[in-house]
Amino acid sequence: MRILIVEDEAVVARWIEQSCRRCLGARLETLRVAGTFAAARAALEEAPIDALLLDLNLGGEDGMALLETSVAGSFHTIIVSANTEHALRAFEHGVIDFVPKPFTDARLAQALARLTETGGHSPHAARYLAVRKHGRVQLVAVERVRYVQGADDWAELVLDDGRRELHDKTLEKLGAILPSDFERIHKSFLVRLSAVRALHVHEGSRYEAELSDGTRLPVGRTRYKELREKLG
Amino acid sequence: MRCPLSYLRRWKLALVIGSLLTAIGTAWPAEEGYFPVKGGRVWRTFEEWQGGESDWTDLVPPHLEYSEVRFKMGDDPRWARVDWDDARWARRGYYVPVLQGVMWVRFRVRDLTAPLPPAVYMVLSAAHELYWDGIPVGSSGVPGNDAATEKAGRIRHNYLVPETLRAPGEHVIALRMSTHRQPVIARNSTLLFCLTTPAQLEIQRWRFLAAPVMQVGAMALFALAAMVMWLVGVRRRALLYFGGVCVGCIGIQGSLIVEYTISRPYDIGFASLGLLVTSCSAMSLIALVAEQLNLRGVRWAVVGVVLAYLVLVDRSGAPWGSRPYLVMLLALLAALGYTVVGVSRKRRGAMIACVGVLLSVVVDLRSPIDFMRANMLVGFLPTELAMFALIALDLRDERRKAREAQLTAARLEVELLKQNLQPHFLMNTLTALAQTIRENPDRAMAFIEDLATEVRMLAGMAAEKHVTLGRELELCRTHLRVMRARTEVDWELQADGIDASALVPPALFLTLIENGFSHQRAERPATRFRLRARAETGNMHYEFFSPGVAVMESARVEGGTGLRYVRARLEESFPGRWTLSHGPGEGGWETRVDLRAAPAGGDRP
Repeated sequence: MRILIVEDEAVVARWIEQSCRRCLGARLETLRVAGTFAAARAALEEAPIDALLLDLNLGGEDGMALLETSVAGSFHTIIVSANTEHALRAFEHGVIDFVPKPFTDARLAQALARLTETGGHSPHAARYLAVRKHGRVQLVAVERVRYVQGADDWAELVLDDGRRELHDKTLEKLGAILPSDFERIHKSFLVRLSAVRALHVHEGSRYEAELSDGTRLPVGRTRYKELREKLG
Repeated sequence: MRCPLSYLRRWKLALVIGSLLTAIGTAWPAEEGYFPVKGGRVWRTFEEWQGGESDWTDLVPPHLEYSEVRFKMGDDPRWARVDWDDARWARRGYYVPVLQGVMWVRFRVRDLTAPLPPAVYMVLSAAHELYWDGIPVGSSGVPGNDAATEKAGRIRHNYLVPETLRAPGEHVIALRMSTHRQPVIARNSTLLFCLTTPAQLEIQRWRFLAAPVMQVGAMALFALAAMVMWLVGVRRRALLYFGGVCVGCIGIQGSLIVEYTISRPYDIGFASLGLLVTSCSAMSLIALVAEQLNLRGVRWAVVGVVLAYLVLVDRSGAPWGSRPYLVMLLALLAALGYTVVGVSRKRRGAMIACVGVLLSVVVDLRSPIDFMRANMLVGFLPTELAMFALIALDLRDERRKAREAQLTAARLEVELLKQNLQPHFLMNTLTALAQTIRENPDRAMAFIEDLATEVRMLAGMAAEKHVTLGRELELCRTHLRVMRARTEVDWELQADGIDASALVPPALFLTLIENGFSHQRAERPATRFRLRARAETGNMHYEFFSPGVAVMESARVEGGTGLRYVRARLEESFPGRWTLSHGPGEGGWETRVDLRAAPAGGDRP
């Protein structure tokens, strides 16, 4: 796992670093520390990461701008900050956790665990998804997303008006921050359950979900039963 | 507290000028009043005899007639006799001459239709004996050949003529008199000789007394109110001037009361006294209006009034009784000028003052030009009322400002604590502390000590208006130690030219340091804050440098809540006596704070 810590207070940065090393052990591939947002941006350009541990306030500089950019990235973001008043907004933007300062090793470990565990989910669902479009970051309201189609390293958000937006996060990572209403019905599809109108069974154990607008999406064999129970 | 006597200095000038005017006036004899008498005896009505309508005209029976006055120097008891031939005596009008030695004055009164009234009301500035048809009916003092032998009597007299002497027809009045003790150098003095009933006289006396009694009451109330305000701690110069005006008015009106009740000895110069007291009162009035409207140049206004008096009044030979009145009028005009200037300069309450003084001028112009007539000072009332209203308005404003200041102080106290003990500051500090405890317990102890000191100092100075620079710098350095422990950057504060006892608002420089941390990015090794102080004739100049480039210059210029706090604190601690400017400097941000010395009397609230 490749981690970038953005923290301007050397003492605290050291602590987070030590915690990461302890919790992730051998899974930790690289760990870098940036003391300013400019340095953080440079580090992001330089090499891809899997997780960003971000302090929202660096010597008076507001980290919300960097946050909005970073949540559009392919990696997860954990906020480690004393500015708890930003917590809700951060979650809305799709961070996987918000660790308020001062914190304990256990709390930081819990946040790091969300990164590594399968099915690890943010305690508060995102309300917006940041997508990169024409070099700029745009926010898409989660309530407008009907389903998400996964590709290799990215995902495609299909909105209620049929528009499609590309997102840098994988289906797994999106699943971790989207509301629990979103269900993985197929290895390539995340669907909002409330948008599912009917389930169809075809010959040869082929399953399909019909959405309210008539769209039909494939349902994975292993996931069909679970899905049917959830839909009642 | 300032000694009230020190304010007397302001009246000294008025006293000197009043005395000067008196001296000039007394050396300038007024004109004589002759009747154009030719040939034999001429009979006149009381009104004609008095030289015009007077307050007494109505009191005298309509058919009563007076002959012209004749006088003769020398002394002979026979001159009192009815049949003494005075045809060759010098003729006078209703004035009697002021000469050295004993003299006699004779004239006749007659009423062919009815017996003459019993009461004689006489005003004569001389020691005299009064003979009615050769019989003495009264005296005042003892006439003498020189000042040593003369005994001065009162100036106003009430004599009763026995019924036997009042039969219808002609009667001879003879006055044996001397005027050695005249207080004013004059060639003649007025003679009022009014024949009427005692009841009429009593009514007349109360007509004269009513206005002065009321005015003394009103002015005494005003003066008492001013005095009480002063005593309870409203130490305003305007109140003293106000009191000065009131006391002057009480002086004049009070002496009028004395005059119309027991009367004064004729050798006391009432008009001069009147001029003197009126001058003081008038100058106080000018000073009061100028002070209340915060205008300067009272000295010149007073000089202007004096010059105007000398040129317009004194040279015109105006009668003595009118001079205090005219001084008053000139002073009111000067005050009116002040109020007009006040209005044009948009001074607070100038309009009220202007209306008040204008009313005073109008009232004054409509009253008789004679200070013995009580109305003279009625004209002061509108001005006094207006001034009282202004003082009251000031007090109301002061109370409001004091309340606002209190609120501001409370708000700033909260603001200081909020600014410097923000949750995120504490949380960040505690986070760093937790790690430091693990890494280096000794250093953590020092860290805790510094943090505790900073919080203690902040709490200690939050409610204060001023702290010494020494304490402020100690707070700054403690804060920098905390920051050093957190960031492991060697933050420093270098201070040059410091006077540790100089006073500054609490957390002034601490806030500037925090602003530096919040808005600037300092790169090593530029981690030194710098304060340069310079004292210059009581004024203090501070130049504060915080290292690092501004992250966003517009935000830095605006400064946010920190700078707002600094400005509010400066205004609270140095009202109207500070300036703050700032801008980017070489490798950092320069803030310049200038504190000017307080005016001698302290800050105006």
